Amino acid sequence: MASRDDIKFLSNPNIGQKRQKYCRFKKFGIKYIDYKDPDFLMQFINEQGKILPRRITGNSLKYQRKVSSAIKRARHLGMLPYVADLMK
Amino acid sequence: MRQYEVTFVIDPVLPKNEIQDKANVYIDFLKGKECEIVNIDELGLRQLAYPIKRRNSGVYYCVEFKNEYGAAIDELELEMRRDEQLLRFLTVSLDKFGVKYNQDKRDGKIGTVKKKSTEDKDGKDNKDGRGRGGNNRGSNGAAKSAAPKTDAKTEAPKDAVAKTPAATPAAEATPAAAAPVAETTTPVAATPAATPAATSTDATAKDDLKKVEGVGPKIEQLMNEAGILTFAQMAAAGPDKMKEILAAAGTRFNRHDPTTWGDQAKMAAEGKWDELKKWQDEMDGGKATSSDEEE
Repeated sequence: MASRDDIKFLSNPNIGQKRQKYCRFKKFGIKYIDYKDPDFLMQFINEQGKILPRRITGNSLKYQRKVSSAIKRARHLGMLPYVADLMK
Repeated sequence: MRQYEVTFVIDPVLPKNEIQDKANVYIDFLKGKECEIVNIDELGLRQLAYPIKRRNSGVYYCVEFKNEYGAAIDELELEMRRDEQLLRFLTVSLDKFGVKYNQDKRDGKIGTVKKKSTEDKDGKDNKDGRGRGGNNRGSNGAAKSAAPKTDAKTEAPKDAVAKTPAATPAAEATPAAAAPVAETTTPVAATPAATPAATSTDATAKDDLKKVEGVGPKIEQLMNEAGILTFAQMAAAGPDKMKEILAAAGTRFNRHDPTTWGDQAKMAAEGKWDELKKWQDEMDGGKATSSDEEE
């Protein structure tokens, strides 16, 4: 008798399941995003140094605006790059 | 009175005292304009993400001040624009959350508040397949019996107290993480009447380096491979040596900062668990909160 491990799926069965995204700032009550903290802001940019969209990070609009302005300030101060390659 | 924050980057080529003088010039300038200086944060020499005026690094300063209507800011920025030794500057007005955040950061509260978000990150990172050291809270109970080497006898009564609540869940949770030592200690930890002799002979060979905040199972393994088995050896190694070990292991260990590990290990080796615990609570993922950024 074939056990569950032996069953071969034609397509990945996990594809249809969506993980509920949430805004981490709301969830953990973070009210202020520090632009002097590049390590933290690294979570919200991709490998090229671009700001990740809300549909990926799950941020609420309010905090996405704050994140983006914090990233832009950090870029101005040379803490984050404007353009990069393979920075993660 | 509004609160503002000006961050500026000074050319690192200047001699050290001149850099300090330059920062003081602006601080005095603000004081002269009837500003109340709230805090001066020296972020120190940092690598720039891209070259500015052909410099690859800069000395960061951050000055918080209060000023009525921000009248002094135009004059301050004019001075800064004229200054060729300043690479960059940025003046920001702080909202109430910003003021609170900076206050909390100064009081060292942010480390604990932000802990939650780091845990969250842990989960996320693990999912991506990159484990991140930092919280080894769960293993404390079981690990405690394995850790103290020479002090095992003196620590024994405290051990027993610490063990009773934590032992049963922790003991089951840790063996996978806590390497060969845990195998022998799990049966010992399960029976509260731990025989100190058995643990001490076992523990002299190897300490549970995960007690040091910032060191996880993966880094412990690296340290062991590099010949660092005990707290005493770790204390002797120094941050530079550990940095090398981490660097040799690949780029994903870059974000770990071993500067405090040596001191933590020293405390652990001397059996000052209470002090160590207190210090670790102040720290954030093994980085000193006072020195620079939090999580």
